[in-house]
Amino acid sequence: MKRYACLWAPHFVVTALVRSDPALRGRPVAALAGTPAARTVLDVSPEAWTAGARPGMSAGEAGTRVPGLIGRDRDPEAEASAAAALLDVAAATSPRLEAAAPDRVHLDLTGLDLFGAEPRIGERLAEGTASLDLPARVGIAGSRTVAGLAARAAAGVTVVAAGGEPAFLAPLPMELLAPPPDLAECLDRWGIRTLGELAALPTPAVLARLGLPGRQLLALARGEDEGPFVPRAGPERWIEALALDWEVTLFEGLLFVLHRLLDRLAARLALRELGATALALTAGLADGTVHRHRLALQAPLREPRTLLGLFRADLDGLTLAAPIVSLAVEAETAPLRPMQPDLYAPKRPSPHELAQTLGRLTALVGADQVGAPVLGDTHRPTAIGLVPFAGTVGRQAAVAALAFADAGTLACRRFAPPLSATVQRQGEQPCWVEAAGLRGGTVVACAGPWRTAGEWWTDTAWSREEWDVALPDGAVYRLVLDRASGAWSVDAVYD
Amino acid sequence: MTAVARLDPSALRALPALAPFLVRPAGAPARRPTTATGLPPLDALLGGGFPRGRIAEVVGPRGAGRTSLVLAGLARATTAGGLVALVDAADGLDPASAAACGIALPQLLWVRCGGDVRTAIQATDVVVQGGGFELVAVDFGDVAPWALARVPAAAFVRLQRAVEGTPTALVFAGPRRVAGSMATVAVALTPARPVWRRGGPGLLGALATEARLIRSREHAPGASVRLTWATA
Repeated sequence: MKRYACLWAPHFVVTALVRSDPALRGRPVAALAGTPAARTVLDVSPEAWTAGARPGMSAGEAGTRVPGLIGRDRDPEAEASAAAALLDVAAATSPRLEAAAPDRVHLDLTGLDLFGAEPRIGERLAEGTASLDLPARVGIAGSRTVAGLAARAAAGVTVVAAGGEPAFLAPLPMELLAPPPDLAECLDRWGIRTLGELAALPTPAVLARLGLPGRQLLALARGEDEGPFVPRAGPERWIEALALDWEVTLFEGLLFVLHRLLDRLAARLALRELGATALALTAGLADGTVHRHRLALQAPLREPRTLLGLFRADLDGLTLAAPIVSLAVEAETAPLRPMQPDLYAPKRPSPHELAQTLGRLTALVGADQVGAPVLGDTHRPTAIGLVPFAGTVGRQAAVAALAFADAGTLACRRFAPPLSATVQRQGEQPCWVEAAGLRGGTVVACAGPWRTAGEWWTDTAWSREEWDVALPDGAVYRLVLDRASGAWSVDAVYD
Repeated sequence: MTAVARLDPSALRALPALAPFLVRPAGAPARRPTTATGLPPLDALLGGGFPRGRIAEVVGPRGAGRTSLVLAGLARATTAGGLVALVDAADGLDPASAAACGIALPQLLWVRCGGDVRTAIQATDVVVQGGGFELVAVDFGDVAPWALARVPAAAFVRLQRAVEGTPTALVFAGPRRVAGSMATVAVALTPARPVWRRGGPGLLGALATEARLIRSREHAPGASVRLTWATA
């Protein structure tokens, strides 16, 4: 037997506004639409509803009825973020879900025994939405229609037992179905006040008198679903957006708004055990243009403070043509998988800890300065690369440990950049070297040359001549002649 | 077949990990946990290697073998399966040398600081606070002494507190000592003597140097050992 849950966020338009601006929480708020000359109330907060404001009123009438009413233009971006957040909560519980409307999500509860009984699943969903500042109601029943009506009928979690749908629907008032005004008036004239009374009418008679809208209303009253369950498909988008009531001109103001968006994004990612691998910032400017900025992360990360630190470092010095009037952050995600610890290996940081460390380092020195060194697929000595540090340990390490030799291996340390040198030769060999940053002079001992060349078939051809020279300071340096340009440089010191 | 013959070689890696669980014989002095440098004479001088949860220093002039010593320690730690970090103040790491020394490059976190000592100290703090590394080495390269002298002593107190109680060994390598009394051990390297191979075209064969213990909380300073760095 199929069982469905409906997750419904009442006062959705206003809730999305409050979610974007926490200062509105607990205050009478109305979302407004229409032209400046004729603004109407689109949705109201519970506080405004209690005080008498209703959707459809003019803004003036609502303001008269509710002293202190705060009117705000609806924010489509905030609503999109709230709708996505609602889907995230549902997806954290069931993989099969249907986005019925921005404020309503249906879940297929088949096979969710792992989370406990149905009331527990409902509580889990309610807790999830509450954690994202998106209070919602939950209804659970044998059809999506009944689950939706259960969610609308009462606050909290309402579970309709299997087979008990007709009895549950019978006493519910007709207003729950929100029939079209002409249909509602007709049914009222007939004395139909509850869903049970409507459901008892014969289908052909309703169809003959009220047409297709009446037939659809009858199906809803009987708890029948209109169509098949269509699970959500396609890639998910992790985006948080905000339209600003004020223009942001200062960097600190931008960070303040960004922090709020990152907080919300991090909460959503936490529901799915995901981390961001890249963040795309889109700033709408007052002159109508859009500024886009992409921040790539070395490892999946979702700690808001670290992400903000990365943005702070990355955006430092940013200059825009106009003030910012809207902001959106979209994340590219990857799973944060726990690592199975190795009993016999030294303790290693968890991927999440490592990601945080790498994130802070990136914020400090830059993304191109942190990573694991990698040797290029070339003989060019200067081909040094960095790859993202994954913290993985190869199998060959253990074998190498057993074969480790006692003798120390001589290493060299590079000069970055190489020290430009002046060299005198005696015959072919360098006999005198001078370079800024080292005590030059007569060459004490010398070995070489070693000539290397490569990539002569490309534009990046190189040809070098290397010498090992001992100078009066006692150190041995690697002296390099670029054979293309004839320039000498001190590349490294044996240390 | 005997039990020894059937022993999986990888199980030998368990020995360092099991060290904290081994019961110390009565009367035996408590040994401070260390991470080996991979050089037996130096390990003997240091009492087992670089101390874990402490600061060690390696100082010496250019060409004395500081880099080789640090890379040897990093190689030893990576071959034991650990992660290591190199905070490279002067961007002087030569990855080819690191690979030749035996470092598993994917296990080495390389932080390049562009010659900025202050950034290097901050990066060290981040790496140590993040935890999970066997050995964190800070190579100051040939940073000017005046730049090192400008690092406040409080920074090393903070680093000592951060590394204390962790299995991480923190090693500073530079031309002069910087950590003062926060360092548990310090080794000074004398200027190296190059050894040239005879016969043939003439090749640098090795650098010979001497490592002297100039600070130790557990041993009398002054002892020294000879070290030889052979070309790969």
